[in-house]
Amino acid sequence: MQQFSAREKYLVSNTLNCWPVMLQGHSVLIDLHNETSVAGIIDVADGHMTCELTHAVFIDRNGGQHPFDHFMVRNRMIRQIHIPSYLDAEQELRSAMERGVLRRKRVETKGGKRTFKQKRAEVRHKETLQMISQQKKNKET
Amino acid sequence: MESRDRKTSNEDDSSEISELDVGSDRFNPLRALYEPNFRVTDAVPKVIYQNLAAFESALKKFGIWQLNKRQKPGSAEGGDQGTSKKASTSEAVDILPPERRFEPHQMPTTSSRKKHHRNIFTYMEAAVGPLELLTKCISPASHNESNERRRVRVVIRKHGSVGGSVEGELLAFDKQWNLLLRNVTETWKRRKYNYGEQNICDTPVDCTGRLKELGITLPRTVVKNLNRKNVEIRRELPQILIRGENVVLVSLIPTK
Repeated sequence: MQQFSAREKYLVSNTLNCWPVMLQGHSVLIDLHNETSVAGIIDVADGHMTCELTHAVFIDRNGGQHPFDHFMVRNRMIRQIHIPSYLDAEQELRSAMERGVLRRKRVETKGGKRTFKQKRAEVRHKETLQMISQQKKNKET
Repeated sequence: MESRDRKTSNEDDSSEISELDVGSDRFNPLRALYEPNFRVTDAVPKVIYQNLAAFESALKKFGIWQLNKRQKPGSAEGGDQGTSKKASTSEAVDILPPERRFEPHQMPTTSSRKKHHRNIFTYMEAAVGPLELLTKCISPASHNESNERRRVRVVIRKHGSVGGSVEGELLAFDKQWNLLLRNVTETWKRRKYNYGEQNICDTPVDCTGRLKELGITLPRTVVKNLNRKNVEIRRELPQILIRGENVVLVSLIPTK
């Protein structure tokens, strides 16, 4: 995840500028403002809708196709973004807002293993409980 | 003489002992008080009370003959051996396995502060002014099937003039007039093939394989001839996001 400025974070979290960020890694078709199109995989997207496409195909006005390895689409060049049809746009947007678009996934702690700190704390806890029970036994006898 | 001396010493000893014995008739309290190593009894008490108040409360509670018997904390009547045995047995059963028992003030604080929730949906609900009209187009998701969502027509600009229009169901909008539409029909006019100059790139290459690899199918275009130089192009799109800069006009399509 790249570094977002405060303004970009606001825009991504509160406006529809979140869509290029959400579509990172997906194949999209973007119509540009001069009646041309570009199709490719969104590699990087910032909070201002600027996209970098990889494995891109540029489609000119007459339908001619031109391959590009990298294609940068500035935000003001974009007229519209075709959201892939396998995504339900409304559902995706709603879940993204609930989850938080910029919230990174919490890395699962290494498969049930405990850290040294946790282990030591638990061992000392058990020792304390044993000591308490021992004292109780001594009091009873 | 010897016998007399023996008798005299014996008598003195016995008189001393009898005077200091608490249980005898000849007990002399004054002498007992002034005896330096005097002890009432050699028996060790079973229960030692902490102070006079504890002794007094025990005296009231148990009586004079129960004072020297060890009282069980569970049972009030300690005299009965059977009862005491049962009490001890039940007590042993009742004892929980040892674990940490925290006071309420030691538990984590429950925060009553409400998290700040603001996103695009709260913005759409709170929209005022011209955007309020767009809010009415967006029905709540729960009523999606019951009432038909009203379609909007968005007039799109070209580089120097109005370019065309887009009709679709409005899903979301924001303050920059970015619009999320579904089931879209896009219509615009442009010059015919030979009259439109293409000078952006060099010779086109067939990239159908790459497009297939990407999984993108270009939308089908329906071309209608208007006159000698112009055509009208229409195409159907599943869902698009229109950037707000290109929006000229948003109008509601009246329901039939």
